[in-house]
Amino acid sequence: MKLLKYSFLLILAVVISSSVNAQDEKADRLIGIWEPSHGKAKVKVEKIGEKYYGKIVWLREPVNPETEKPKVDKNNPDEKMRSTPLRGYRILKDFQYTSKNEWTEGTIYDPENGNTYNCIIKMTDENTLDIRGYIGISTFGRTDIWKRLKMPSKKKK
Amino acid sequence: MKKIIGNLAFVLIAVLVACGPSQEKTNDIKLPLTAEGPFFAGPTSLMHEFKPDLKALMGDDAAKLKELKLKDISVNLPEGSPYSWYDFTSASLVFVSDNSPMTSVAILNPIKSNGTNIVLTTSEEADLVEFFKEEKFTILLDLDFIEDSYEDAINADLTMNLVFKY
Repeated sequence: MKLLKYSFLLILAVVISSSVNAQDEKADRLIGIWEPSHGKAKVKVEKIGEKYYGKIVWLREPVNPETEKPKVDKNNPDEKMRSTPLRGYRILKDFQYTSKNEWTEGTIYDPENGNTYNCIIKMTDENTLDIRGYIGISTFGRTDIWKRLKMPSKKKK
Repeated sequence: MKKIIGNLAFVLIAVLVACGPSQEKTNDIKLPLTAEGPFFAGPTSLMHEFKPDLKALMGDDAAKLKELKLKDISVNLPEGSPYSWYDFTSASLVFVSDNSPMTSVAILNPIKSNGTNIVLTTSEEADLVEFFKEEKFTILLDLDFIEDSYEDAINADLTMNLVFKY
């Protein structure tokens, strides 16, 4: 009887563990480099702790033509932080995977006006994201489509 | 009538004074930060997982904490480091946790240093109370590498001067 009980517990632990791993694998599909529809930037999504963050890793125009220096976050509401470089800036913050291919609870920052919006990320296929920024309720917002950047595969010799 | 308004104003001021933080303590925290190489040109995050102990930092006043701000932040490259501050264009410090929103707390851009030490400009708005009430949170120092580097690791020492208001 004892053996049966332990076997049952062991099977239960294995089932729970594999289910958690599967959920992590689904959530981690967000990791990678993505390109917004305007093509002005590329954003690398990474995981820190249990949440997902996206930072700008490439800018089509990295230099401010007025200052001839690398672009900075000149519209940051916190005046003291306005010298933060845009390259490396985390514009996607604090996303958590829920289910149904959605990451929620996060925000998106628009460096062009210094505003931060609530945001929902929906993966419509492995290489496409619907990024919906909104204020208040998600009905009133704007969706942008981001595409995964595919790294060129190395040629076999 | 004038007397009533005067009394009301006095009560309002007394309430506001009683509600706001009235005392403060400062404390220095020193932490090692590290990242594993190789490193590519652009920003790299040096990390430290910090387990705050408010009781140790504030004693019996820990429960009364109302506001926590960073006053000064400096970063040192340890003696013998293969790097100097000329290897980076900027440095920014960020706090991350599972329960609080990511918060940028300090920046230095461009980096200006004559020696092993840099001093970052701290945010006026970032209030760190929620981070210090958590079991743990992650401190990230984003260093912007000028060029690729193939060292095994980079280490730095962070000193934070914190102001606890209660």
